[in-house]
Amino acid sequence: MSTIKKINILENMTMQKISAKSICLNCLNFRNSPVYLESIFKGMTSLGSAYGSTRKDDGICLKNDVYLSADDWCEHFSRASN
Amino acid sequence: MTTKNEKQESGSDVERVKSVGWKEMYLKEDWWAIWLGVGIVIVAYLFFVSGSSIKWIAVHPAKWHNFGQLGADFSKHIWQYVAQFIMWLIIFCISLKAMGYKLKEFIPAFVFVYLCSILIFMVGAWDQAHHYNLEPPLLALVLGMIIANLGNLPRWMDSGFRVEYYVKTGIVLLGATLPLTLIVWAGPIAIMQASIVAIITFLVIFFVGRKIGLDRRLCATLGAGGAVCGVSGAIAIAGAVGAKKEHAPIAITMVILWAIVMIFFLPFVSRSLHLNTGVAGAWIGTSEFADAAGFAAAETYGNLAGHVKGIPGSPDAAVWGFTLMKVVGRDIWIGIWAFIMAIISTTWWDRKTGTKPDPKEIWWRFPKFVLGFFLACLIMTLVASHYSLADYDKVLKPLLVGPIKALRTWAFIFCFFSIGLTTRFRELVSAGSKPFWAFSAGVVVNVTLGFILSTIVFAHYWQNLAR
Repeated sequence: MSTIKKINILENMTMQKISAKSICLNCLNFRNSPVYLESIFKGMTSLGSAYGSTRKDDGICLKNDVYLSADDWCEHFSRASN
Repeated sequence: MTTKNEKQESGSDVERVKSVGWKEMYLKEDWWAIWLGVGIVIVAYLFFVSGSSIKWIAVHPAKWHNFGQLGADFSKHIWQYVAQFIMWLIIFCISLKAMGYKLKEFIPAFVFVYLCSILIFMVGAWDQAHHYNLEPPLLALVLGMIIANLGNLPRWMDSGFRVEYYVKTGIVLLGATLPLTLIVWAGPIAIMQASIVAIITFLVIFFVGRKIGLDRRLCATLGAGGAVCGVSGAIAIAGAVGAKKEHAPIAITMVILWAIVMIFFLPFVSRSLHLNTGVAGAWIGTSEFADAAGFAAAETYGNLAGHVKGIPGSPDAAVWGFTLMKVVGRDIWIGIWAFIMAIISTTWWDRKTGTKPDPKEIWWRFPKFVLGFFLACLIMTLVASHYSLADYDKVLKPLLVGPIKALRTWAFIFCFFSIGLTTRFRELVSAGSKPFWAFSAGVVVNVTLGFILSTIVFAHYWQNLAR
């Protein structure tokens, strides 16, 4: 196994140890309301929907500009007030 | 001063939704499709066992030859249409309110959808409609696209154009008209055929995309859109792999463009080759990219049976073949695809965010409306098991199954019309040539392989669906 792979696996294990509450879902930079996602992802309502089960709680991280799972985590976590 | 769009982009005036979890039972349209669809089936059964039927409210235009007949039929049943409209309006309003929609936007939009759907249904009931290719699914789609792209409907009306909600409700109702024995008999073949095509298509899109220099997360998102479940698949995988924000809209554009092309292309080729309706349905189920688009294509082709010379099979077989392949063969695996891709991305890809995926992910991403489809199928199969074939045709079909099928057709017309109304070509993002070629490579493989498997390798199964 290459060193990079080992590092990635170790990083993943570290991430799991992080408090479950420090996840994207509770982050100030995370946006996942269906209305918001359907306004950002143009064309989404044509043959899809943000109200479906398959999306789970996924949303957009405004900090990293990625679309990701609400259970994810990163070093830029910043707790939302609500 | 910031504009509304800029504010939305920055997230300053939008909400962040807490974990939905089991609250999805009233917050997500999959569950509402179950409550609605199975609820209609149960109410229909209760009416049936009490010696009545929901036939009165499941009204639809009868076949007509001239405007006099059409006008007479409509004026005779006008209060039934009013009652049916109120029924749809109430059940949609309750569910959409629970999901957070604004009813003041939904209600006028749905009035528009319903009135246009009556017109579309009427045209489709014309006895010459088939000669002019005026099939209700295609008519609804084209009319919707003309209005959306040449007209100027206000954006808030999108609240009433809920393609996915309508199609999921229609699929649950479809379960009540599909024998469970058929799923048991052809389900494993559907899963096998769909899996072969889905895996190969995904790999083709992924590796062609990588070869021409696309980010692997975009390749995975495109691959899921082309191979698994259209927009839903692309969105689920984009979330699972932590795709860049712009990746999902690129995949959405690709799916929409090719899905619209396939709505016309697959029935056209099937008609040219005089394919059996069950075979064509299986091919469409394998090679279309979205449930809603696929139903439009399958219903269009199925409706030709008995009207266009040389097309063997029954109208139902096209929809059954499509449903087995798309819903049973492809849709239900979306959670597993997302789970596997999440493992790959967090373990081997250079990803700065992410946690080890939990197997529970498979359940949470499962398209729950499929459960309603199976439940409706089970209920009706149990009911039908008490009847002989002759009694089924004589009693059950006209009083129970027929009205449910009519309501299903309404739900699908709402859906097809809404596809057109929400397909605004000018709003689709410019995807660029590389994603286009990667996705198109998958389309070619998908359509070719789907054709070979449906018409040659497993043709025996699909030809015999209606028996």
